[in-house]
Amino acid sequence: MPKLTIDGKEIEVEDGLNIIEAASRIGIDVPHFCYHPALSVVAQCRQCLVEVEGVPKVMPACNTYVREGLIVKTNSERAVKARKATVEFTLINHPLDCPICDKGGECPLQLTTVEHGPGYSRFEGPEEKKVRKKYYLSDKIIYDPNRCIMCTRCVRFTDEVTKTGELGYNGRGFRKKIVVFPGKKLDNDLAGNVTDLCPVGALLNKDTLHEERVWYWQFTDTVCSLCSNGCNITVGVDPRKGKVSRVRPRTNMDVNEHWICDRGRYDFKEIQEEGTRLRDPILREGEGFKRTEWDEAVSFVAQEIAKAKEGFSQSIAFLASATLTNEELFLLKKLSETKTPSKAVGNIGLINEPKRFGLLSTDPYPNSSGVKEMGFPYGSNNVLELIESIQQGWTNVLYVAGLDLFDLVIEEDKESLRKALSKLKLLVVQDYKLTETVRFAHAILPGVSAYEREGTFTNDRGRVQRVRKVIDPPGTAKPDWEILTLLGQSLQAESFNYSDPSEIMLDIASNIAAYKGINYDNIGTLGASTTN
Amino acid sequence: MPELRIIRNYVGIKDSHTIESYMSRGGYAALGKALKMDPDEIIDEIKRAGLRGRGGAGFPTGVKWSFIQRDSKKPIYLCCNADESEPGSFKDREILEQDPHQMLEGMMIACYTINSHKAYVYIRGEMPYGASIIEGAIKEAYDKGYLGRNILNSGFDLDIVLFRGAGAYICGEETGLLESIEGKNGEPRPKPPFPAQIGLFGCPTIINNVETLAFVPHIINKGHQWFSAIGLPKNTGTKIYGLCGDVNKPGLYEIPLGITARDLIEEYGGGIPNGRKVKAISPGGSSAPLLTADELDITLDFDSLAEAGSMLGTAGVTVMDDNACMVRVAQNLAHFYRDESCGQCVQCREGTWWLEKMLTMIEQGRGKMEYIDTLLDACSQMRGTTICALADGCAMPVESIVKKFRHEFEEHVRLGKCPFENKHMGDWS
Repeated sequence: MPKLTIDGKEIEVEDGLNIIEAASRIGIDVPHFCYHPALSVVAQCRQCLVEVEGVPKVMPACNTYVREGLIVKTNSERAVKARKATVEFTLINHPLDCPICDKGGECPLQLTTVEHGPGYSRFEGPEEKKVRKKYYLSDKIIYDPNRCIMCTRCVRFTDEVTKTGELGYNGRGFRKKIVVFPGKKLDNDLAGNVTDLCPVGALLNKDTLHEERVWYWQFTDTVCSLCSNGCNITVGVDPRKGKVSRVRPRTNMDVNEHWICDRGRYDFKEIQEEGTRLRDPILREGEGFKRTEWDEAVSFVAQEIAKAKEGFSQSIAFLASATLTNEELFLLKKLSETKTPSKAVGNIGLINEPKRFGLLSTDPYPNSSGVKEMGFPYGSNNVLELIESIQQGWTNVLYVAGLDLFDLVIEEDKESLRKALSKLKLLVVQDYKLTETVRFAHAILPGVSAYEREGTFTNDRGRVQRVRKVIDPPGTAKPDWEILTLLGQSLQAESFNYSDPSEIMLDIASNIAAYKGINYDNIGTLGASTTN
Repeated sequence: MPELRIIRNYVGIKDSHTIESYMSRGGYAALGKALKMDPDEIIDEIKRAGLRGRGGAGFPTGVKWSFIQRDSKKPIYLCCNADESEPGSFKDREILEQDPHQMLEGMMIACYTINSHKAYVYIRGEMPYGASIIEGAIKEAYDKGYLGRNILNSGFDLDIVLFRGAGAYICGEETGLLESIEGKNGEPRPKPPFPAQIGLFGCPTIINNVETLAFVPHIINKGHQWFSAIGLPKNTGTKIYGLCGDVNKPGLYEIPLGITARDLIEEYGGGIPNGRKVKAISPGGSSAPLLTADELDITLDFDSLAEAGSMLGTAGVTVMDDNACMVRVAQNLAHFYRDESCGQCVQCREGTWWLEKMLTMIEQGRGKMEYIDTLLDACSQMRGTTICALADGCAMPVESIVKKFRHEFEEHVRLGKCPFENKHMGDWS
């Protein structure tokens, strides 16, 4: 553990750290563009120049490593002047088009210029600046060579992280630009990360090009719900639009490191727009449906469930989705237990091949682990068993939470599923969008989408992480945990006394061994591991 | 000071590039002698001879060789830097084309010393004739058993490979050269690590200049006392000066280190054409800060020039007479470096571009007075802030021109045009 001095402060850090990392430990920010902790060091942006005692030249902090007795000055006159000059050089051929640049407001170059730059440029003759055409690197990413400062982060990303090597640069010196190798496309599953890595507005997302301004956004730290990996993300929402504007990776070295896949990054538009949202509770009335109030819907469903008590042993079945949070699954299980005997099954996804890039799982659900751990018998073909059970008359009441049954059966089985669902005495569907299953329901309880949930998911490596509400649900739709609490209260008031998902987690922790000791405080922003 | 030919002794003679010619004058004797010596002994011999690198930096060759850990588990490489592309420098080309075996023998001795079994000759792409000569010379050496397995029954194996560059000045920078051999863009690497630790293909590597290596067999043959007695203390031996520009007799001259610029121009160059006077000289290739007519009594050796704020560099001496427009000279220099910058470091990629723009505007009469100080400030920030010395190579001469000929810049701005008629731009174009 070498001891060194940075700006007069002595620190002791582990070997192998560079000055940027070491300085950040004591809150000193050395500006940089080309350095990234997950990529190799190239020391070419020259923005991190610092003075090292005993070395005649100013040194790049990214390529200067800690050693015993090193004395570094990041704020000496020479270092400050060198960094100021670097900003001026960098901006010579960088267009000052921040007002129309999507990166504006969150641009490292812009921020560094404000903080470390000279505040003016002695370069005259903007008409002399080199101007080159923009072009697409993929159908999602546009490249503007004029803004590019040649930090090569994107090139190193495809070389070193994805190891797909689509990007390179050609031209020498001032002609240099980023290109996709002939015959290749920047279409790997992690390609979108280059837009985050880009420290200027040279690589931008086409899907929101010129549509968004970052300073309007509110950011929420949450997890992605599109597969079982549970990548940590930050979601930006423009409150004026009430919609998700951007999904970005959030560094969690135990889960997704610095990256997310393109599905997690770009699919928010589709997810927000797909299907018709269910806005209010709906009850069947004759051959049609009628919109109703929550009180009426909940008391109707509660009565029906209570009535089913009189039926056969398996007359009521609960079907849980792996898109529900642990809290919701726990409540659903508990609800199923208010009537014994009953049948409660969970639907989960399977991981049947290695994750691509260590991130993309074949299990499309965020909480298959939760389904198992909350005590649901699980399987991936339980819909067929259910059809059989309905057709045999063993099940006549079905409660489906968060699932479209038609997604789970092959084309040939859809007809028998339709017949089975029509045969049910009561079908309750709790979902956020209009699905085919919903069309057969007697009671529809509108829940919320992935961006409107509050709770926890347990990823496929047993990490419990919080999913946060980033936007409001439409109409009177309620979070699923709230719907289940209301129902539970109508059936068995004393054991469904929750006003917040955190209280449900406390119950989970005291009832389920793997979750012992876990609460929202120790889950924090990076999650907590279940004990196996 | 009289000419003393050591490595230029046989140039211009018919078939001087063949191994027969070379052996007839005692060639490859040094290799036989060296193979019987202990590597430490050879390093000591080179160190005591005081041989300094002829590629530009003047680093002591023996010391460089001693940086190699000879028992490394990785292969060790030697690269001969024959990527001579500095404007005003043409000394290596003659060795490559006319007497290449002394360089190859020097490489063999160097490889034996550092325990390397594979060496590269990295030759500039624009020298196809030199490449064909080297290719032939390597083949001859294989045929005679100086290369390949068990050389001269010593048990020492060595292969030499010719590698042609693709036309980039920056590949003469030693780590840019390594990248180029590895098949990548010729872009210098951040240092440390230095090539002696992590060089070609991640292995310990020594890179030496053609002229440096050509001296090695002569030193082994005649001993360090002989070599160190030539020239000046700490600047021993002879140096090939390439004289060009406004002189009557441009050409290559091998002279003991220590000749003054004035003597070189008068004695060897035969003075300035048309009875004109010297305005400035560049003493060591385009990267060296320029000397004015008042500084011609400085001796052209590593230490004296460094003391005078310039450098010997490649000893390519370019002379500019009093009709040269120094703004145009600076602009032409900046143009070259802008064109050759690899584009990694901001100071270099944008700095050379910016310098050229400012100098062009001044030259065309569009400049402003404040550009002159901006030029100086930009130059000072380009020096010592980048990965390699290319930015320095641009900033140093431009800065020296602006400082030493400031009045010409001011005149350009005042007049709104270039005051020189029938001007020329030195020998760099």
